[in-house]
Amino acid sequence: MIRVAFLKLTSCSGCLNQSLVALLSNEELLGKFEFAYFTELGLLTEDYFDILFVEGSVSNSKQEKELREFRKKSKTLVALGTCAVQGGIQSLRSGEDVEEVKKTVYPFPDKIDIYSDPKPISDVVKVDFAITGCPINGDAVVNFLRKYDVGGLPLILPESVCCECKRNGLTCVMVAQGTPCLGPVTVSGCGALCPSFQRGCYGCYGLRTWDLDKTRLEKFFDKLLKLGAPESMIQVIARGYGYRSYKYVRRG
Amino acid sequence: MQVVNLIEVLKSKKAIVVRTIDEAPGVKTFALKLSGEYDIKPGQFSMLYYWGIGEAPISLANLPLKTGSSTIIEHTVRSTGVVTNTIVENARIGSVLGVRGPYGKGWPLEKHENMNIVIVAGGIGLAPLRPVIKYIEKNREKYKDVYLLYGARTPADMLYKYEHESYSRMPGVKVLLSSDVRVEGWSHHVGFVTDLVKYVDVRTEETVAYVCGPEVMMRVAVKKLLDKGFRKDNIFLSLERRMRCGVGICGTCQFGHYFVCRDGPVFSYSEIEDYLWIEGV
Amino acid sequence: MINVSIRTDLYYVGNIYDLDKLIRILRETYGRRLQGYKYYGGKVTWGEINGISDLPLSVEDYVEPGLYRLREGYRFRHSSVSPKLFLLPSKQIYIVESNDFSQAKVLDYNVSIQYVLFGIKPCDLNAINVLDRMIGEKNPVYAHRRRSISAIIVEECLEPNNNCFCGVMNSGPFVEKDFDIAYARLDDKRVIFKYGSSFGRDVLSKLELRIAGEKEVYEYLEKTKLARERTSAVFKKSMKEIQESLMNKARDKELWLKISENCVGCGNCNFVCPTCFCLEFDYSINGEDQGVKIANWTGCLLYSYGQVAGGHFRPELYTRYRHFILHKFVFYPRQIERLGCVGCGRCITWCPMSIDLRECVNNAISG
Repeated sequence: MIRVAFLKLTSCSGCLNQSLVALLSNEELLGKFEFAYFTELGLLTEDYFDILFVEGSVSNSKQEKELREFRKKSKTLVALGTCAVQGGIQSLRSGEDVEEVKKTVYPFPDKIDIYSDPKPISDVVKVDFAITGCPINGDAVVNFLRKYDVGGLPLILPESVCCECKRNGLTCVMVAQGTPCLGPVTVSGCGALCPSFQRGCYGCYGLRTWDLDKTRLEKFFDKLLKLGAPESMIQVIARGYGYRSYKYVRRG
Repeated sequence: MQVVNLIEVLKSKKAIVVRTIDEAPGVKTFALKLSGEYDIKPGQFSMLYYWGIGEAPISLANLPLKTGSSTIIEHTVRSTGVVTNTIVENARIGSVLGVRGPYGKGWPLEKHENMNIVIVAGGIGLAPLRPVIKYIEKNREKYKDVYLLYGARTPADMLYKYEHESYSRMPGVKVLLSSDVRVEGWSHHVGFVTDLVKYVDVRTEETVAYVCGPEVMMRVAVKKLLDKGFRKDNIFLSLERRMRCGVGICGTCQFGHYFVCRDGPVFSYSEIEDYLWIEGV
Repeated sequence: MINVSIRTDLYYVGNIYDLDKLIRILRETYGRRLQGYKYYGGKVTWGEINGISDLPLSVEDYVEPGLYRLREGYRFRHSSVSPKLFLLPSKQIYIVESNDFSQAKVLDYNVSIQYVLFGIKPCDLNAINVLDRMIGEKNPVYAHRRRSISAIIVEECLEPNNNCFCGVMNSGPFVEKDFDIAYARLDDKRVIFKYGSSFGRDVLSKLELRIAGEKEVYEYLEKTKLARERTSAVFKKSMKEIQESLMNKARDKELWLKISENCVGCGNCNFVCPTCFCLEFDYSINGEDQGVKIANWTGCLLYSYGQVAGGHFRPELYTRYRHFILHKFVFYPRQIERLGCVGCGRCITWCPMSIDLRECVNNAISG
């Protein structure tokens, strides 16, 4: 049996729940995998794992240490969700005075032990595979496990959300309704969830990096602003969900 | 109007791994046994399918060997991506892979009887040319002088090292080897394989060149062959592109207006002259 | 292009309720099922047409580059969908195989139903012709779906929209061949019909329409002529000159970088294009432990186009944008002896960055 662990760092458990729902609706997988460590289910066996899924970003040295220890026990490590892959929505605090941020949220800020910038787990350990999303699409976990079971990994196709939107036969919310949508610059995988409810994408899968550059991205953001997007919409992807990829795209 | 049969087009045949050879770091040759015929022309390719993971276009690296009701084919696979990694890491003797093909046009060997043949291969590019060598070996009297110019990054990266000697023992066949980097104990040329073109001593009007390797290397080879006096339509290149279907329906292997899977992978330089020098066409 | 001598006996005149009659006759008398632009939930998508209420008869599309609005009117041109959605579905399950390849089953695409494409546009008809030549019998899904189409009924455009340039691409705004029935709306009520096949003539005869008067035919031809002119004055050079110029400039990286500077590589143009046919294969394992090969739409503007294990044949966006234009204007003619662009303007309308293909071509040939 393939031993699987789910480790949670700084995160909301959304990805864990998505994984759980997906696993429970694909019962045939439960016979092939042994779920050894999953705190939410009270499973706490910590010896070795074939696959370690990590949800969440690294917020302090304690988490960093824990992550390193789990990495040592695991053959394959999968970053689960935008927090683990890029730092997640908590990256919005990046560049702010962390003490101020603490004060605005917590009554006893001095008890909060966090780095000023959250770290994606790839800053700490080697990551073998990344499943992005906030939360992830549970099907991606199922797909990963099925492929792992036969000895391989899923193929990654770098695409925009528009691809899924058009394949699903949806009408573009940006062109047909003037709704600002981050779909064109956002990584696919969600199945164009928001546009299928007439909403604009808000970039929770993170920014596409592969062939975007600073000028193209700025032109796109200008277009959104012209459509009446609030500045905060751009901040959410630039400093939150897509913090790392945004820094990467703007490097030039 | 006959509608194509879906099963015939895209169904993989069952192939059992009967032998594996470690060629170089991350490169293995797999001998695969299929039931029935698998008639190939040197230079053609198959779509190798690791069940559930994906397919990859891989050149046929040997002539088919017919044994009774089955055929043994060979594929040399370099581990570079998800599919090839999985094949190289997991396929053992007895493993089952899916094969469909053979696809594409091969090297026009039949048209080039009574000519000299210069083979220029870089790295993994020797794989689609190995059946050419084997074919010449079988039909030695049909061809005049043969040169094999083969280079790789290091001698360790070379394919079919165990056969190189047997190639050079064939009458009228000269094998010239080259390593990009200097390595202790290497007695052959150091530099790019295209440097070796200058040692080819043939009447170019009755010579064809078969070139396969990284695209940069092929461009340099074309330049050097043209400089040497080769005719444009006597230089043949085997191109690599992103292939998904192998039968000309997916459109992702387009190179200019050609579908590499269907119109190639072997092209004469005169066919692709317009496109070869355009980056990313 | 337009017949100079007016033959009124080729045309019939009716009103929009005759379209309802036409739908009923095709469905009930001939037992066909109809596919076409369907007005549903305030949008025009693709689907089955069961009656006049499914037709986008009282809406009109207002477009600009990167902008599409449906408003009240009677001149519906098209939406982001096209007959491609029916002929070459966006997700095609090809084959389901067991892990030892001993069993393989195929989703049955062999359609026994006889379909009629209803109300498609001249550009759509031409796009089908492009796809026929390009993938035709090679792609099994397309082949089966295409064969299930027993008749084509075209709605001609007498007032093409801002982004239409079918005239210059010689694919509209009217049709002359490869259709069974064509109709055009002279105004919000009157509809002029013509037939293009004996089947079309038989069907039309059942509608009991009156033969068009000379004045109506003249009105129709005059509007057609204007529409053609309006969609023809687009490019600065002749098509032959455009093709030569594009090929000569293919190596000019700076030029193509400039032309593609607004593109973000989202791929919308590919997906809405009625002639784009590229497919991406995806492999998965289903719950019954069967390997599934699926083909999904892909496009040359996407980063994955040209990406291979350990390398990339078109890593830079400008090379892919250039391929989009070169393919439509230069490579299609070399592949299938006709232009790959039908001038429908969908790529212009549905580009979130408002990139105008016409402008790009003009810049490429003059820059």
